[in-house]
Amino acid sequence: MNKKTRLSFWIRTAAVLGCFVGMLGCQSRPLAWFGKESIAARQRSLAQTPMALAKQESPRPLPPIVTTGGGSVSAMTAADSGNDPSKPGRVIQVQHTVPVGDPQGLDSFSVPRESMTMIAPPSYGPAMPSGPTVMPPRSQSTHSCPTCNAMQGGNYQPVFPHFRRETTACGVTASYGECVPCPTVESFAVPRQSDPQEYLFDGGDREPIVRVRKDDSLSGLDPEDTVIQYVTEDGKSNVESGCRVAIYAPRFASVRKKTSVIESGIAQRLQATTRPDGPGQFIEQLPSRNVTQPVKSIQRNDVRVVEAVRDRNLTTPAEMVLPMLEISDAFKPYEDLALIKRGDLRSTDPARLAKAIAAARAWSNVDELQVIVDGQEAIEVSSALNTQELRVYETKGARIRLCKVASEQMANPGDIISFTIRFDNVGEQPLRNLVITDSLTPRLEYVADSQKSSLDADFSSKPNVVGSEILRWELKSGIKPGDGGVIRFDCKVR
Amino acid sequence: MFKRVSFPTLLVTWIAAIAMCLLAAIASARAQEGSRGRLAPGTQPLLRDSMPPGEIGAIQLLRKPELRGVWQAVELKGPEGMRLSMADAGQFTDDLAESRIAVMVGYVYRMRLTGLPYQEDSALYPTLEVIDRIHPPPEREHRFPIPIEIDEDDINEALRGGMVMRVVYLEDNEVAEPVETVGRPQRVLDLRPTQDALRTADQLGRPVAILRIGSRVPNVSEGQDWDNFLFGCPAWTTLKPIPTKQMLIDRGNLPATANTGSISDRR
Repeated sequence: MNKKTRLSFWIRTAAVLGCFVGMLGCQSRPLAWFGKESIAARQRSLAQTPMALAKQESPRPLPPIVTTGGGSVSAMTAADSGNDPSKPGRVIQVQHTVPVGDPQGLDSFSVPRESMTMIAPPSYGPAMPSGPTVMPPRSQSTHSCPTCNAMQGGNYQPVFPHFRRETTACGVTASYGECVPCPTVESFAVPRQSDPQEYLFDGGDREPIVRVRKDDSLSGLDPEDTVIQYVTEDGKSNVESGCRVAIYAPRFASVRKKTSVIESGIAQRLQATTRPDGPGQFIEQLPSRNVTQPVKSIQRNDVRVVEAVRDRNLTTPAEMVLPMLEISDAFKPYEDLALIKRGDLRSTDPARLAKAIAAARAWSNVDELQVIVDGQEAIEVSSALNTQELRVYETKGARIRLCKVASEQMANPGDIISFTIRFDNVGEQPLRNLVITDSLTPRLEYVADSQKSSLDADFSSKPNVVGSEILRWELKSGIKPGDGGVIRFDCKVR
Repeated sequence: MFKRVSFPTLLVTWIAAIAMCLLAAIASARAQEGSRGRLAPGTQPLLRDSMPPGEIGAIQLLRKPELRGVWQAVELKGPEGMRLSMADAGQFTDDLAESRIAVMVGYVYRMRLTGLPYQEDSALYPTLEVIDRIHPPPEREHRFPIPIEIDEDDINEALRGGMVMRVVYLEDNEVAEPVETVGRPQRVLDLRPTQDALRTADQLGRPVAILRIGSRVPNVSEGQDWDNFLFGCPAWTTLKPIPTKQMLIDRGNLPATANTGSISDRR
């Protein structure tokens, strides 16, 4: 290997290693780590370390309280530092000093020890009065909010906040450097729990998003989805979804397991007993050295025989060996069911649920028609879902609004719920070839011949993958800007 | 050892190497992401159906402190003629006129069933353990009780000396079976004795109550054992009956010509 080849080898090796190090580094430290704000944040965080705080404070001789042969520990009590011991957040500083009797002097502590700062446990309540606190107030956050970080007097700032946007306990989202003051917390009541499994949802557009294929058919139409499909004046086919309603309708089922006690006639007996009655042999020729004294047994130990055993075994009757679970699995409608079971949807479901419940609650207090016209929630949802498409609509001038409401907020099995779909052309150009599609959840059954449409439409229904139906209205005429229509239909809760 | 290679070959080799590194990194990240929510093989569940009555409820109260002191409405149903009484203050009450009661989550309630079909002289003493709650809208808790149904199969099996365990679960509405349930008995999935009823119910939904039928005759009638048999008689209360539409009409709260539209008559 000549010199050139060896150099080339090392360059290649270094490049590969550099590639790996770079990749690993990028996973943990994005470029924002080197930003000005991030550097300033790190400096501020370093300034809060006990060592930095100890440097900032003026040195003061501390009275030693314990002196042992090895060294001494001096303590600055709360009274010395001006803190009231009864107040929360008082400082108890314990500082190590050089051992007195150590002839080596400073050499025994090659590493300077940090002074330990202990914070007294906080008390929950109003903000602490001004006074010497552990954490000096920062310039960015002068408010004292007990919910930001109660353990440190309400001044909370993440160390490396660039990696995520922090949401404080009061729900205020703030990026680094701005600790938004939380609103006044009046009560610490536990929010009302809820479970999306207890609700029936209908409307909106779940993942995956509904798309229009080239042949005007829809892909990604899940159960619960309600979408409207239209063609703009320039021939572009679009699809939009509306709001989502939630109906409280829990349904219960049960699993049963039967176990029984069976009797078995297993009797356990002794196979043989040995009863030495007497010596079996006499040796007459020689005086016997060993005399075997035949001793009759005084007492006979009876071995009680187990006559019957009641054994608790698990029976497997033939009629119970039904692989119903596997059959039930076959009904699972979505491929992402595993994700649901793993809990990946848990983070999103409460948010969706809260929105749907809030919407349903708002609509329940006023008349139905009025709600549809003034459905502020629906407008927000529609525009928030399709922000990118909204830009297109502004230039093209085509936009549609779809809103769905239910007549009941809660239902038992057997109840009939009326749904109303309102669609409006809120854009600036007429729309044609409008098709409204509603895929029902498995627990909703369409009541035959209950649909009514304010506009002339061809209605059809076909089963969907979960055993319910896909309802489809194909409007025969287009709608002008500002016009709209209403569709009503009934469903029975299974 | 190393040959001099042309620049295009070197370039292609480098690009291929970087691409493979990237693919490996992505694959490992995806693998980690995929296995995040799964249980490791051999994981033992915390709750099993073989636990004695009360243990599951106690663990639930430890796991979910918000369940402490929560009242949950349940509705007990049985075959025609079956009478029900609950343990209260060391003895069984008279037969309940209303089968809709409210019990506390996490406690075990001893009941007495009499008037069993074809077994008038027999009595069964099942236990009910509510291990979770549901969240109906405020002031509508009585409208959504957890239905606890006892059918003749359960009674016959218990009278034969068997042990019947029913785990009632809240169905997941997204994967619910599209079947009609109105006016029909509660759907039951019979398990093999080797299967864990609690675990199966957890796969199908959220278990909320456990009913155990199997104790026919209490072997004690007083003393500490009797208190243990009654599980300390936790508190329960009856709920007001929900008026039917005819009852409302009879009381004058509803016009007789009320529209029989979509409004539920059980509001």
